Amino acid sequence: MPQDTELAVRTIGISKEFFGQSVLEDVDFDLRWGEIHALLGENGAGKSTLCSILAGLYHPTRGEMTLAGAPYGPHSPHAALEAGVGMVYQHFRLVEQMTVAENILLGNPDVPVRMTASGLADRAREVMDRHGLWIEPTKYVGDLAVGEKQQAEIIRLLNRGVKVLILDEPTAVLTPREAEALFAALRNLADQGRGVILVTHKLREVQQSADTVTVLRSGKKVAHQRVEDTTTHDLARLMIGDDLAPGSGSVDASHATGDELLELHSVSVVSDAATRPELDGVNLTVRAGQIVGVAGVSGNGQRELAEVITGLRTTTSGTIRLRGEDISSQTIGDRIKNGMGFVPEDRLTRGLVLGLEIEDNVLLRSQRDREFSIGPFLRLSAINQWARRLIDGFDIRGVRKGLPISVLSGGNLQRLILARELSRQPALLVASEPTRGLDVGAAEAVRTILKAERGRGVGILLFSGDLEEVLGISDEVVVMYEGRVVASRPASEVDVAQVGRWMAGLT
Amino acid sequence: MTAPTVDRAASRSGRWHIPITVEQRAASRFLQQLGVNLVALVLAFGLGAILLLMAGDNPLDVYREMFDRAFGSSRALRETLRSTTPLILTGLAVTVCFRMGLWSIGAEGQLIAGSVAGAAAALVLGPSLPAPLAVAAVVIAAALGGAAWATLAAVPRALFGTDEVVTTLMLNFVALGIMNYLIFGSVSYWRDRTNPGFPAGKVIPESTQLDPYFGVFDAGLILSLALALIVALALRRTVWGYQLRVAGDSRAAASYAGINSTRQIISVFAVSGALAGVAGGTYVMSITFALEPRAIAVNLGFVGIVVAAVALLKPLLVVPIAFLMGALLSTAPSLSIFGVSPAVVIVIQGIILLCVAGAQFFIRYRVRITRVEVGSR
Repeated sequence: MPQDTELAVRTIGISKEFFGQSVLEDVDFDLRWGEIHALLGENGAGKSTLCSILAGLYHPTRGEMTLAGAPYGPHSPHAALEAGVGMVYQHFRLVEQMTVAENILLGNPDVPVRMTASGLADRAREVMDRHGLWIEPTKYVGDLAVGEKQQAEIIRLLNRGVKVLILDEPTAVLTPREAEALFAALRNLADQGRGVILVTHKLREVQQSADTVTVLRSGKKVAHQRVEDTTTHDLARLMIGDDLAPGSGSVDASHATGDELLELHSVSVVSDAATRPELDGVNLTVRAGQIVGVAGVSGNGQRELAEVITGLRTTTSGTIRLRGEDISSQTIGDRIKNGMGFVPEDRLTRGLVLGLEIEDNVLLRSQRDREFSIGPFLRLSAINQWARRLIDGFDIRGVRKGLPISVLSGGNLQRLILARELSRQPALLVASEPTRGLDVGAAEAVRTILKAERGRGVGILLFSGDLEEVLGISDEVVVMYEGRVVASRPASEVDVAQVGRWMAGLT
Repeated sequence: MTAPTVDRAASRSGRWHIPITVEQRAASRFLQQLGVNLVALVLAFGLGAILLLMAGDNPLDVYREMFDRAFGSSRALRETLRSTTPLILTGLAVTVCFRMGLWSIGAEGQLIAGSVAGAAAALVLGPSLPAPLAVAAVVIAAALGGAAWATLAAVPRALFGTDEVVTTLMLNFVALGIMNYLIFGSVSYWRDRTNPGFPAGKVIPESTQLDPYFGVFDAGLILSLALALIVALALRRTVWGYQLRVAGDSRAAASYAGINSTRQIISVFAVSGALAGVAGGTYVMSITFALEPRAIAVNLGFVGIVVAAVALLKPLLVVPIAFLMGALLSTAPSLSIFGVSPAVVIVIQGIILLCVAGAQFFIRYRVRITRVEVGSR
């Protein structure tokens, strides 16, 4: 592959803001031809944003880019592809109802409008032979395993003449063996002279398969090194940051923890035998008056754990007890009645009904409560009063009579969910990402509320991608990796670097 | 990193230079929605006028004639109100399903099922029961018939997620086939056996035939108005209605709220079917007086979809809209005397649906014309 310069891609001072909020700040990034370059960082560090800019999906707010030495500024993913930059997204851009051959050749300008199925298959075979990758071209994409779909996506991009290949968390959905095959294929592509960018948060992958690594943290570049010059320990520190004092936990002896409230005993969830289990033998205990914080890079089973406890998902095996009673097979309604509060991660689609008014939203999950309904009839005046009390008590602003709550701001919507779930005086509160997307003040207010609830004896299971938050208010820290609980310690006994290593799958 | 829409819009207009900005409205006021829909109605009649002009008719004359035929005399008004009753009920039936996001288009078949069950009840119980009880029995039987027919589609939808659009549509034809068979294809209980050469439905006993009060409206209309009120209250003031509205807005929120979706889907379908079934029962009692396939299968179920859509899925708005559509329908037969094909009415209905469906876009989005800066990408 003839190259004009040594550098495939260079970004100079790239910044990106969404609605005035900065997600990338002054990032310089260099990709050489023939290398696999890992882009490492926690969730929200800006990896995906940077890649989306390279792939033409977003436009940088500031900064410049070059491709093979020439100015580069794609105004659409299509333009990026024309220029030779292609991205494999976590959600594949494939048409499941079409064959592999059709997908690979889809949108290819050289393919005649009318072509027989066997003609297409032959063309696809030719393409695959050229790139040393192979999937049966006549199979339907919907019938392929995840790893095969990913390969089909890569072949499709290669067929479009891609010289720079970007992969966003490509191993998140793969089995270990599929991942190995993928890395072998990527190495081959790099050896042919292409540039490969590998977005990941798995340190082991960086060590095993990348040549160079750039670490992003909170939208800034914090390191750019050859992989052989670093250790996983260094990378974990760079990725998580070391500005937190070890053991910054809030544990004060002033509140006593009580009896076991929630007990999980080897809980597993297996939805597809072909991939790794979503949850793999999870043991966990939450006591009354205790905050248990679950740390982990997102996608390692936290969502599934929250869903299985609250009843949105069923267990494959294992038991879940709430105050000694086995609730594994109880309905969501029964779990609510038994004192379970839940602040879900998807607050806009699950936690609230955006098209309905505030009264309907405070009623959510309490519609069968005697306080708000008599038999089949709702007690509208009681509900109205309740809504007004929550609006005042939790300072929810922007409510307008007769309009759906979609007019409220993000912080007010989150306060509304918290207000509703806490006002039911639950014994256990499962809170998923309760402060995500809130400004500093609003987030602190939420944490204060959670601590106050703990003081009243509520057991809280807190899922948060913000490690500082987990260590800051939890009594006990649990770390999840690939569906397993890999560590469970009192917050006072762990430091950030240690948790960071656990999160990255190291011991 | 949750704001891709903005950028995508930018890249798209960057490519094509479309000088129009489309923004989602945060929320739209009820009156605003109603206004948009009324404009759509006027527009529909305007487009209908163009059509009439092209056919060589004077649209003003035709519309005046239609108005006279719908409201001009007490007899005209009675015809209009007779068509209004079933449309209120099928409109409500569609409203209930659509509000939960269940796209049932099976009101037609459920109306037929209700007619068959209602006619059976009238023929069996009519002779022996006093009039009020006999009428009540017909209504109940028709409701059960319609509900049962809807349940046929509801159960697979609730248990396996079978697409309700397909099943309800196909069940319409099955119901029609059965009704035709009962009268034209067999000597069934419903068929008038006194005249074997001429297939017709057996006339129901007089105790089940509804007489118009003051020569204008009958008990069926009162029943349909009451049901509109009940549906409105049920949606607003019962746990069932609340759960329906939550599920209609967000399935994820419904499961989070512990709503049993299987039970909710089946019960919503059953209620919807019962309403359409009652439409069939009252239609038999006040218009056809027998199971008459050709008079019953006149698309009242499908027009119910138009009614519900124009009424913005508000049960109380269904009433005036059904009245309007009923007026339109009752003019159809008389138009042929005037030298205009009755098909015009169907065409206008279709145009109304198109205009209203198109108008929904303007309820959800605000469209602004923006100036393109020269040289911008």
